[in-house]
Amino acid sequence: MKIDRFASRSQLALVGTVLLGLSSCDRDGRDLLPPNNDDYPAVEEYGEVQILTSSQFDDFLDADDQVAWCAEEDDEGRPRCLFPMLSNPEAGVTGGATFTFKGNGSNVCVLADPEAVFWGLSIAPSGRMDRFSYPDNYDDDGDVDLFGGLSSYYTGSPGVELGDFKGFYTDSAGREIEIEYAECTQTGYLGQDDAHAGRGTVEYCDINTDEREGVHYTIVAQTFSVPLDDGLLSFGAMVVEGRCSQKAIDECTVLGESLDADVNERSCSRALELSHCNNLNLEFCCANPEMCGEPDIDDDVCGDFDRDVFCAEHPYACCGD
Amino acid sequence: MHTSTTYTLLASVGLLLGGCAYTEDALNHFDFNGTVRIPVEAVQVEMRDDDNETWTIDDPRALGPVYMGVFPSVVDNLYDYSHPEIGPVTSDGQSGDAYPLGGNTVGRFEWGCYQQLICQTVTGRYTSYDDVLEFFRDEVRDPILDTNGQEVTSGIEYQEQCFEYKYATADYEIAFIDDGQLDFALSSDGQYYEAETWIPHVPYHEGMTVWGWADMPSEGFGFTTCNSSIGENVYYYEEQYDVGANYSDVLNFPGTYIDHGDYVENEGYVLTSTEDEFVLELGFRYED
Repeated sequence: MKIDRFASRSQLALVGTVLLGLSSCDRDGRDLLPPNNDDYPAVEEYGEVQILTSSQFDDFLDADDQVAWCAEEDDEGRPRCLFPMLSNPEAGVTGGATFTFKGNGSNVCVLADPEAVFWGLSIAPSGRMDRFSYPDNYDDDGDVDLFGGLSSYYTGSPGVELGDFKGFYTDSAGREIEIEYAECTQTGYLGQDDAHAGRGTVEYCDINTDEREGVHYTIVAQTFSVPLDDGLLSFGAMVVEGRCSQKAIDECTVLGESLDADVNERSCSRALELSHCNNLNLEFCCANPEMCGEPDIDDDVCGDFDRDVFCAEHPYACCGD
Repeated sequence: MHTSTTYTLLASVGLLLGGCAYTEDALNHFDFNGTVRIPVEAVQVEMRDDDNETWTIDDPRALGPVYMGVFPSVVDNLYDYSHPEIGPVTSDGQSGDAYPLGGNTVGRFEWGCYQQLICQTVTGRYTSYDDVLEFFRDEVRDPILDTNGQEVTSGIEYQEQCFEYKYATADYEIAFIDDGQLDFALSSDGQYYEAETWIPHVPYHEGMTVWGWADMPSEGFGFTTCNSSIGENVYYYEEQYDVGANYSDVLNFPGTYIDHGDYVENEGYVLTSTEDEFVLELGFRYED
């Protein structure tokens, strides 16, 4: 009798535990997966682009509408530069864009800037970086990783399947040795090889095309993450003559790369980038809270911020006026 | 009941012991023993000082590290000396990688406790501190100086310096001092300096070739395979410097490091069995 009563209590405890467990499964995390956008491909080949001269690069920086400026084609039908738009890929598929250029016999700089701007929220109880004390809008950021090399070494099927630049050398002992032929390499802050920038941040690399004038190179912008808000990743990409170190490349090199499904620049995204480049992330968010994340309700990071005064001094940083 | 428990226990122990019966025989990796021979004339090193005065060292203590590698094959059409086959050239100004299967050295760079000895002292060459002092004073003609610029004349002082700078408490911790057997000994016929050596843990492929060379000193007693800008760091009052160490890719790119005066294996020793004992005869002096 005593044993039966004990078993009964155990069964009740077990049922209770199961119910508690089930109730804790009321979310499955799918809201953290971007939707697929059926109007755009997940893998796309954009053909050959021009190598911008330094003068053209200056014109690009000054252009009010960089998307339209890039779309201008030369006699060979090559656009100046690209603003690819990619859907979130299906599960198990590596998404990304490819394009090519012909070597000019010298150094070229390849760059890609994904939408939009990302920063980590500064929550330190002391020594907080006020600039980053207002949270970023996490849902509007994407990320592409840049790879590149001779087209002859590229293993992918352009527009169908992404590949890499790995080849194999078989020595006389019969060993098959993998060799990396990629030439678009980036170095991390700590000097590590094969580094890539993070969310929303521009990536760039040098490729030396010495003695390879007219030879095709393939650039791969591999999708790393897609914005959660629309499942559509847009970014700017180009090839410019000379080394990247000879240019001041930052978040404001490509402006307005955050595009909606109609290929229109997203409202206020340019103001976001310009504010970021001018170290005004906090002020921008206080002036345009709809463009940033949700601050902790108890954390009054904007204080006595005066939007009118700020917008008068920094008109480029304010939207909706 | 008692009997069945005993049987179960014995069976479990037996299974456990069976699980420990694994040996590494199934791996295709083997240690290869062998001998390195260097002609006696190799240790005759031409020296030149700042005043352009020349002299010859004739001393096995002048031998730099001997590098041995196991390679897919050795060819004679890449350099002016035999050299391992190489893979594709993928970087400007850099030869292809030789992709060694394994390797070892006879002697290695070990800092000699004074700044002037960075990249100049090799293990297996000296029997005592006095041996080092005498060699650099009388043969290299570059006496070892302390931090005050005074010549070090006492082995005891030298030992104390090493204990201080290497945080050592006994001579066996000072790797370039070997009061036992040195790496090289004169052969019975007096024609070679010989060293017994081995190359550990090499994946075996029939026909692979053991090849190597001796990094011999330049006229200023420098060695191309040593990088004076790396290695451990001395930070001792006003002294701040790196103590030097090997470049890490000497077996990947031997041709980058072999220079004038180095002694190179002629053909390489082809391994046809896992039991083979190789002989490397570094008989070719490279003249740049």
